[in-house]
Order: sequence, then C-alpha cells, then structure tokens
Amino acid sequence: MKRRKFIKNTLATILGMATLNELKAFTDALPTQSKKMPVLFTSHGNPMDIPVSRSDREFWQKLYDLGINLQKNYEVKAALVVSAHWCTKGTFVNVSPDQKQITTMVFPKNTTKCITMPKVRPILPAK
Amino acid sequence: MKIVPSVSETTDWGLDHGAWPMLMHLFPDANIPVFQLSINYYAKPEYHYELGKQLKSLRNKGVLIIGSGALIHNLPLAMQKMRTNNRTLYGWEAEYDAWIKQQIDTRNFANLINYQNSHKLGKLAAPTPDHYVPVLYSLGLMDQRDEIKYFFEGEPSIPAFSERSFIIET
Repeated sequence: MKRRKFIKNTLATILGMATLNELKAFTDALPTQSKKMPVLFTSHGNPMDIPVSRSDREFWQKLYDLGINLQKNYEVKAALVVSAHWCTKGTFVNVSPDQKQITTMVFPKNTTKCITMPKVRPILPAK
Repeated sequence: MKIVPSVSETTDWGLDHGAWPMLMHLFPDANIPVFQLSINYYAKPEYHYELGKQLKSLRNKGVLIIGSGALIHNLPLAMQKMRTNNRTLYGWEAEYDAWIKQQIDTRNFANLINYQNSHKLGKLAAPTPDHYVPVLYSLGLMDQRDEIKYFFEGEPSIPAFSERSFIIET
C-alpha cells in the first residue's frame, strides 16, 4: 500500500471509524486550542521507588513539577498514555469508565507491604 | 510497511503500572481523564512511529499524549542483581544512554526506529519491544519546529534501566 493511502486509512481508523466511538466522541467534542499540546516521553520509573516520596526521589518530584507547569500553561483536557505494560495483538484503546488500578508487577516481598495504593481516579467524564 | 488493521476500544483494562505510578505525581488531583493505548507486541517499530504520527491532531485538542516505558529495560539483567539487593549499574548503560540522547538531539529517527540494529547495545538495552517502542509514538507526534527538553536524565536507581524522560514542546 502506498504511504499516502496508508496514512489516510490509518487516520480514518484512529479517529473516524465506528470502532472508536468513545474516544472519537470525546475528542471531537473538544474545541480546537490555539496552543499545541506538548508530547511526553516518560520513563515509568523504578517500581521499587513507588512507595518513595517525592522529596526522597527526584524523578517523582520532576514529574510533579512538570504536571503543575503543564496545567498552568496549557488547557489539558485528557491524557492518552501509551503504556509499556499493556501488550496486545493489535492496537487497543482503553475507554473503561471504571479505570481500575492494575498491579501486574511482581514486587519483592519486602516492599509490597509498604506500597500504598495512590489516588487514581482519572476516568472518562460522565456522560 | 504493514498497515494498521484496526484500533479497537475495550473496557477490559484499567490504568496499569506503565501509567499510574507517574500519573499520580503528574496529576495528583486525578482531575484529568485518561485513556490508554496498548502496544501491539507483534508490530514492527515503524508501525508505532507511523501510528504516533496519526495521532497528531489530538495535540490541537488539548490531549496530552504520553509515551511511557524506559529507553533501557532489560528485566532479566535487572532482576539478576536486584535479587541480592544490588543496585549497582552494569556499566554499559551510560554509553547507550549517551548514544540514545545523541540520536534524539540530532533527530536521527531512522536510527531510533531501527534500534535493534543501529547500535551494538540495542538488543541488550531492549531485548523486548514493550518498554522501548512507546518513545516511537512520542517522536512520531513531533513537529519539525518542536523542541525537546529532558526533564529527567539522572542515573537510574536500578541496573539495566533508564529514567531519561523528555517533553516535546512547540
């Protein structure tokens, strides 16, 4: 397939086809913004550092500072995370209204007990 | 180039270890709706880069796209040392990290897409695609006049791992 056609078809697949009703409906409803949203690449960080506080782990602190700056300088309407820990045959978008927290990692026994589950509630907006 | 067959929605997933540990610091108020995109494990690296390109229009809609993984991630090697609580690095991480940085800084995306063969440490640094290929989405989303700034590039706290992270901004 020619590149142009490939790109056209892919774009249609990503944002135009019926298979992506939720994501498409959500993003279509968002107004076009004057400023282009930045893109991130983040290491997901050392799992052993999850219980470590921001003040003790610079990496977490940098993410925290970045989040403040992003929300100060941009109107962040949603985040789309391409995650290393969700491998599939084919490409999927998770649109679950109940974003349950998945802990697929096997943590060493001595650290598991001190990992407190953080507040994670970023979900799709209510209809 | 293999075409993208389809992208499907699912509710069979939530926020995984690739997403919530950094989201809880990035957006501690949990006030941002989050979608996850899966990694097609069987796709070639070009697939991920091209798919990233196709998501560009979302940048105009206030959607923050985050590639999340690690530029170096060799779990067997990391575990080998960490079983004995040894967190010292192997020694080769810095060389590969410097090379990766150079490729990103010079926008040598061909080398980054062909990561398994373009550097002798490529296969050691990323024996499986899962943690590396998220960066190809981020790079695919980049426009020519965008700048890349590293917001973390310190030494990783475990061996065979990387915490180099960056923001692409117009």
